[in-house]
Amino acid sequence: MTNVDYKEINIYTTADNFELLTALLSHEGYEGFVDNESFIQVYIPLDMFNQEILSEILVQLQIDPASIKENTIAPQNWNAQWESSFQPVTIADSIYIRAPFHEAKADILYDLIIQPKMTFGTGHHDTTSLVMEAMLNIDFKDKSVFDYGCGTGILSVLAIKLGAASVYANDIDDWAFENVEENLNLNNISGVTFKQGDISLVKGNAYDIVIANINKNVLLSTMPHMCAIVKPQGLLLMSGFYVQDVEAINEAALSQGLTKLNQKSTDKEWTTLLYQKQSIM
Amino acid sequence: MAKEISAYVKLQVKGGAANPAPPIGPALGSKGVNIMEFCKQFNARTQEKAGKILPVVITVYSDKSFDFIIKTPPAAAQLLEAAKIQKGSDQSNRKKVGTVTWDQVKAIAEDKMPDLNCFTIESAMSMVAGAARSMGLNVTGEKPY
Repeated sequence: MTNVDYKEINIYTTADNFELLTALLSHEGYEGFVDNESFIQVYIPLDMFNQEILSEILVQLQIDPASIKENTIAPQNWNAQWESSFQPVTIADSIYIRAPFHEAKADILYDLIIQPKMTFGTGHHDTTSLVMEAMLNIDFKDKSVFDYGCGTGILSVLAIKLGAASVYANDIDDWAFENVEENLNLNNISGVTFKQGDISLVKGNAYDIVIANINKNVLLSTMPHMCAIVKPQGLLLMSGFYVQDVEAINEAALSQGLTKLNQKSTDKEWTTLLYQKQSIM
Repeated sequence: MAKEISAYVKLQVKGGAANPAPPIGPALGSKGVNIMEFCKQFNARTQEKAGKILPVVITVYSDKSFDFIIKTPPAAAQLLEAAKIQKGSDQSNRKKVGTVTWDQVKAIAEDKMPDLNCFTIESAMSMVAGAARSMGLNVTGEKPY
């Protein structure tokens, strides 16, 4: 959860206790731990914090309650430092992705402005550039598109620039909501509808092109739903996984009656897969 | 030329569930690392261990690039899972008491061998068994060594 207050607790104890602490606390809703050698920092969403449970665990491990220090951390853009200085990206000589503080580049076909705000999708990651490259080879003219797990909205922006008639985009992430809107405005894009939530939001509609750059588990668990919302002859473009995950994803896609059109990987083994849905016999 | 290392960050986070909230956000963001890039990579690499607490050591370089090593789940976390201790709703049941078998201790010791400072499986097992006892778990069955 990225838009809630967190409780941060610094616990000074022996290194031997770190492992026990993290095991016990992770059973009680604590999400993450930082090992700082002389002390450990533990984190839990503030509304899940329970003083009594923490005290019991400290007693169990014979940790002096006086040796801990608690802070509340408000939600903020932790990625601001990187975002303030990132370099523009050029993809396939025709897409240029830059922040609002970069100058536009001359002689580029598709100029995209992205202000990321702790959301995924700036073109720097292999999967984003692979998907964008694949999109250049797809006919988007007057097509309807579903951008599943849209992050910054970068793929929706490109889809509209490539001629799509409309894009429906979703993401479960708290920060995506404002960020997508901001990026659509920066690029003067209309025709994109964003909803915060998972794929269950999409009911009754089908799209010419479905794009999903997420991860293996989400793609596998929602494959039937994804395939159901692709129109006959429509396309499904997926990424967010490694080449070793292709077998499982391919099997799931084929079992839903899709036909594999293309597969491409980078040298870091990130992979995209493109499928087409056949007409109903 | 080898890249200059600016920091090591040692975290424990759940497999497949990295997000930019604390601790990842503050720990990596302050180093100028692109947190979203780390989360995407970490989650893709840990899909098979989704939900399990995984230690990860991140090396941050002076050019803000990074790489990371994911270790096996901590013995203590594996022991809790082996003992199948349910999260009790009754406060009085919070005291963790349970049992693990020597076979389970051995399986965990084998999994942990690459990360433990042990030369033999026996010494790894006795470390894991020691951790079990300090967590309030009884180790049952025949001691195999």
